Amino acid sequence: MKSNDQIFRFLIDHTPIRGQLISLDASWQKCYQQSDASEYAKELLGHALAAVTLLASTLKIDGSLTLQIRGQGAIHLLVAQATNDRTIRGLVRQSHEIENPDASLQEIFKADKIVITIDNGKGKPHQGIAPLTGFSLSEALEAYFEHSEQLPTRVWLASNESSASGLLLQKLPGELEDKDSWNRLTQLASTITDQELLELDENEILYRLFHEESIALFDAEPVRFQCSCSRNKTSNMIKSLGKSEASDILHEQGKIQISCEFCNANYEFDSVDVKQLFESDMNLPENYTTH
Amino acid sequence: MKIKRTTANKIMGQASSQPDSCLLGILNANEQLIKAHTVEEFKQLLIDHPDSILFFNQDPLAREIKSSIVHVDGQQHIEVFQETKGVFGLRAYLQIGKIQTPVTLELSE
Ligand SMILES: [Zn+2]
Repeated sequence: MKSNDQIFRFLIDHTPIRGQLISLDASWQKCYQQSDASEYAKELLGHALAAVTLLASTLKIDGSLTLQIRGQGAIHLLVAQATNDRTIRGLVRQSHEIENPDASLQEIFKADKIVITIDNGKGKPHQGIAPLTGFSLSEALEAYFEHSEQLPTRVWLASNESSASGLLLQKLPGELEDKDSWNRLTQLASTITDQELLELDENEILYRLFHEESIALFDAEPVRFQCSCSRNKTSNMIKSLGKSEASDILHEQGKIQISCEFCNANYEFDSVDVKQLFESDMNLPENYTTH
Repeated sequence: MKIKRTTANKIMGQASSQPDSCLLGILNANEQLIKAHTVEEFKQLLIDHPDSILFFNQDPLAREIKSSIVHVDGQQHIEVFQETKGVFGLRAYLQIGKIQTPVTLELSE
């Protein structure tokens, strides 16, 4: 049985090579169902979410990792985010039909870079930029790894309407006992098909790819969909508008309504809520959820 | 770039109510105005509202905060400028590569 919404780490014995396997299922379906973009665009979103979850997990960040591609093309925005708590969220926006699905990502997005932001919660976030190249997100990420000061890394990604899966291999610093092991193992990994990645469980995948190696597989860690939006954050946005702007909106629309682009949550504030916001100068506690 | 005339008026209204201080924020996908006061807030707004237009005035702090963020291709910017004291206007830009290219700002009713 395939393990759902789990990430697995493994080490390949006698080599400084580590890997990770991920399968996003219910967490991915949540993102999939919320999007009205084409199947092609959603497939890319699935790839992006599997990739950011794998990357966030290798980097041991204390915050979030966000991948973003923005352009002027048929797909004009792709955002995928994973946190250190292994929560994910993402969105893809399409403005018109893709004329040629075999075109490069650069043509489909009419964009020339991929931006990866690592936000450790304090100070300036680190932004890595790489040219957007190739025909798939895994190719584009390879260029990113080459351009940034990351460890040599390869990813294989697949997604359909029910799962988004990925495999990552990374070469840790240190001499390779067997100089050819990185090439050999990445070549073996490249034989994986989308279907295998989406349908097989972690043991089957590792056996099919690396049955001649000895592998240490660690316990699974769960992944889930979770958006960081909240009523409290939304309250602070309304406060930032100022009292007169807020009462103008109330006057025009009867209530203030702000919805989240990632999870479609809709936050509504009526005149009583807004009055309360501006009367209490204190910030609301983080888990304030009254509607 | 196209925004509602009422949205343009709101941005200019905000700018004229605070002509000498930092005005920086975003218009979310529904053209709601959300202001930021610090780098952290601004950064968070851009993360939470990726499909937004950012706006800023000519205050040095607004420029500093804005320039501390790497802008991705296709990001839309609106600058509030003040050529004569008290008279405000809006200029739209589109981020293409490293350059913010001026584009026409169309106002819809
Ligand atoms: Zn949300």
